[in-house]
Amino acid sequence: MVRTFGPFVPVVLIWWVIAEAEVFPPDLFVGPGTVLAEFRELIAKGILPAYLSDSFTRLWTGVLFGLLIGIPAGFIVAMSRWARRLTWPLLLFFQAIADIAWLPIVIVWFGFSLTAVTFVIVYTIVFPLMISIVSGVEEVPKDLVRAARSLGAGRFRVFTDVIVPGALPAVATGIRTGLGYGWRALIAAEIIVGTSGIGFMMFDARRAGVVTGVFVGMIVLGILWYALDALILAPFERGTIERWGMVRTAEVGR
Amino acid sequence: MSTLEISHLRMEYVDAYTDETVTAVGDVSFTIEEGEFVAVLGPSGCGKTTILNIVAGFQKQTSGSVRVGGKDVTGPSPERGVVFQSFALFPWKTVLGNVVFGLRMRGVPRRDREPIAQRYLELVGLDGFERKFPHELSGGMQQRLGVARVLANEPAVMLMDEPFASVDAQTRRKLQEDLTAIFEANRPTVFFVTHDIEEAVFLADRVVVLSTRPSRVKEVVTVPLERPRHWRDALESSDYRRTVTYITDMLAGDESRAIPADLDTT
Repeated sequence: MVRTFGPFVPVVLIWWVIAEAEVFPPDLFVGPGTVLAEFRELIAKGILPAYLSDSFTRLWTGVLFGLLIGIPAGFIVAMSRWARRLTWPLLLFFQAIADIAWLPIVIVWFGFSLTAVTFVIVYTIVFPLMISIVSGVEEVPKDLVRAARSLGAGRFRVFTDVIVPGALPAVATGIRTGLGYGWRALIAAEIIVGTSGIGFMMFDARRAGVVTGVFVGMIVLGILWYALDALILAPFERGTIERWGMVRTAEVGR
Repeated sequence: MSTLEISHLRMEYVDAYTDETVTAVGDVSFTIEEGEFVAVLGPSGCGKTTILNIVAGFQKQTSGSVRVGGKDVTGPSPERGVVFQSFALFPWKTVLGNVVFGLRMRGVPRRDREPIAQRYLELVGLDGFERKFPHELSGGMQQRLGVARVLANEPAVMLMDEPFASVDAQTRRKLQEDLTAIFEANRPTVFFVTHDIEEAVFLADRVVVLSTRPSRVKEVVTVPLERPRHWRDALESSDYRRTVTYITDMLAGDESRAIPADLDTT
């Protein structure tokens, strides 16, 4: 508890002091008390839960398709020399186009819909994931492959028993970065095309000139990412790559 | 018929930077009999690891032949298990999982795998560590696991590529003793690559001494030491010391000539 919440105590304290001292005009910079009250109200009204579930539905749809496409595509490009030669320049090119830069054309194609948001999330997840898988497969020590071959493993078993687990640290890093990008893309998409969701809530509050709503949104974003890391990503990494003493690559994303 | 027959092995490759053709292995021929421990000894860069890689099937020779049990080597195979300098254990598998891996790959029935693995873990003194992961073991224990993993597959020949080069000197002595004990108990056929003269003499029945690059066999030295062997006895034995000195002199002449040649290539 102390380790989890301890670091936030001084931050909240400084926030509270700044707000109480009215360093900035109170209608532009609200204190923790006001935000907490707004929090309660938004939950009581059912707005926050509804928006949260909307945002989550979009995120999971996007992430699910992103992983379903990104992981196999990453391994195919990593394993096949000609697939790599064919797609690597494309990968770098498309990775360079920022997710939000796709929004204008995506809105034209799909309108203000779940498809549009999903497209952007999938897009942001697939490329970094593929690129980390390719570098992860390259980093699998050559001796491990040789050891497996001279213990009787054929090419398929080398893939399933050596390449896949060997690339797992990179896959974990890729999923972590991919999710991070996807999360940001979701909020950006909701701000621009949104009709609901956390991003929309923040944008809507700004339009109405209520800073408190924006503050609530930002805090929710932070908490959600923290929870995602603590409840899903970190336990997965602890149970696999950390247990195997393969943490080096995974630490990069931390 | 010998277990391993290497005849007129030659290996050339094109250096990626200079575009020159380099001859790593000049003309190497020797044999290893069944149940024999042969050390291949030579100065660093003489191509001894290249020879091992060719025997393992990791690399293809330019010319010459490698036969194991009378058959040409065409690629990696469980009949030629390799113990690596880098250990090359699977970090995501337990100690037991690492040993069982080869048995699984060769299609040994599930219920037979664990007893076989257990027997070899006992042989190398790792019983009781079955559920540990490799990174939880010391360097010496990791390499003993590397040996057990290969022996469990009952290969025609066990290839060892400077297996003790990355452990500290104290542990190395201990591992060398352990390896002779394992060898004496199990009598596998061993192809052992090293640049350490004392290690070669202590472990091997015969030492194949290679010249500098492009390597040729200078001489095959038969080691006149009884088994079982122990470091204490070896160090006090005049046969041991005479053999070490003999090989040292043989390589010393080579090394002084090798220096200008090395400068030429850089």
